[in-house]
Amino acid sequence: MSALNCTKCHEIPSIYHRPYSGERLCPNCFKASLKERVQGAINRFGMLDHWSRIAVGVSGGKDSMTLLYLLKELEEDTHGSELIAVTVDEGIRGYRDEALGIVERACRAIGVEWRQISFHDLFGYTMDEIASWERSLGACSFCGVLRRRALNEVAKKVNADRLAIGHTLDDMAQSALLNLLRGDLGKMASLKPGGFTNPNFVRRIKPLCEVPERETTLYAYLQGFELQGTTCPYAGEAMREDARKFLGEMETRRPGTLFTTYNTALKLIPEAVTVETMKICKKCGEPSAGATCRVCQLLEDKKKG
Amino acid sequence: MRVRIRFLGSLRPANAPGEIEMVLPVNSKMIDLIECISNDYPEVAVTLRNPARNLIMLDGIEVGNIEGSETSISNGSEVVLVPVTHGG
Repeated sequence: MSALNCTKCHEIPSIYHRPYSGERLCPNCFKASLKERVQGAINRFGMLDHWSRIAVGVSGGKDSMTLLYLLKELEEDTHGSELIAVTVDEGIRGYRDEALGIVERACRAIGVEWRQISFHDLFGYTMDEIASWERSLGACSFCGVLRRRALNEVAKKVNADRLAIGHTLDDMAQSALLNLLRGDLGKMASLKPGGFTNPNFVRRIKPLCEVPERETTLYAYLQGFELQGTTCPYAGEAMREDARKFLGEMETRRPGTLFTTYNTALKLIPEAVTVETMKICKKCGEPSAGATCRVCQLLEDKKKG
Repeated sequence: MRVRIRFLGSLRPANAPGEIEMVLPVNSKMIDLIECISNDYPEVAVTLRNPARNLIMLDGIEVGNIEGSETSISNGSEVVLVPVTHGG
C-alpha cells in the first residue's frame, strides 16, 4: 500500500484525498489548508474586527472543538482578538454531561476562559423534561430555539461582540435545502456567514462555513481530540436528518454538491432578505420578530397544556 | 493475518473495548473487514457501511486516498474507525 505525495508540498506522502478538488494532502498541509480556509472566510465575509471579543460556542463535538482550536491559532498569529468559550448545557443526561467534561479539559489545555449556561437556569426546564412533554413539534425545534437564545445570553454576559458557532459546510447546505423544502426563502438570510449587526443580538459568525464535516472529523482525529461516545438521543427526530442523509449520499456520488448548494444559497440571499423591524417581546422583553418571541411561544404552549 | 482495530467516539460498540484484534484471511480488503465488524457488532453496521458517515484510517491514511473499500489490508495493519457524527 502506498499513497501519492501531497499535491501542496510535493514531499510528504498524502493521507487524505479531497474528491471535490482533487487535492491529496499530507497532515501538515491538510491542517494548514483548513486554517487558510477559515481565515479566508473570516476576511471575505468581514466576520471580525481587529479587536473583536469572540464568544465561541463550544458543545464538545468535533466541529466546535475544531473551531475553537483554529480560532485560537489565528488569534495567536494576529494577537488581535480575544476568545471565551461558551457552552450551553441543555440538560440531556448522559450526552451533554460527557461533552462538558471534554470542553473543560480542552479549554484548560489551551488556556481559554470557559463559561457555561443551562436551559434549567435560563428557562426553568431541562431538555429531557421538555422532550417528555406531549408536543407536536420535534425536540430539535425546541432545542434549536432555546439554544440560540441561551448562546446569545451567555455571549452578552461575557461582553462579546461576536458569537462564533461551529456550523460547517454540511450544516449550511442542509439549512439551504431545508429552507427550500419548507418554502421559507426569508430564512435564507440567516445563512449569511458573517451574520448581521443588530443592537439586540451578539453578531453570529460561522467561520467553518466552507469546511466540510468530513474535514472537521479528520482534523479532530489528527489533533487527537476526545470524541464523544454518545450521540444526542433526540437527533433522529429532526427533518434535518433527512436532508443530511440525502446531501451526504449526493456528495459521495457527486463530489462538490455541498459547495454548489451552499454557493447557490448565498446567491439567493440578497433577493430573499426581507428587512424586518425587530420588536420587543411583550412577555420577556427580548427581541422578537412578532409581538411574542418564539421562546415564550414554545414555553407558553406547555403552560397551557 | 492479524489486524488491530480502534473504535473512536460513537463508533465504539457498547460491548466492545476501544481496541480489538481481528484475524482475517490473507489478501482481505477493506470491504471484507467492514463486513466482519458489521457482523460482529451490528449496532455500528449502518454507520460503517455508509462512506459518508465515517472516516476509515488504514495505517494513518484515509482509505479514500488509496482505493477506498477495495484497499488491500496487510498483516499487522492498524485500522481506526472515526465517525462523521453530526454535532457542532
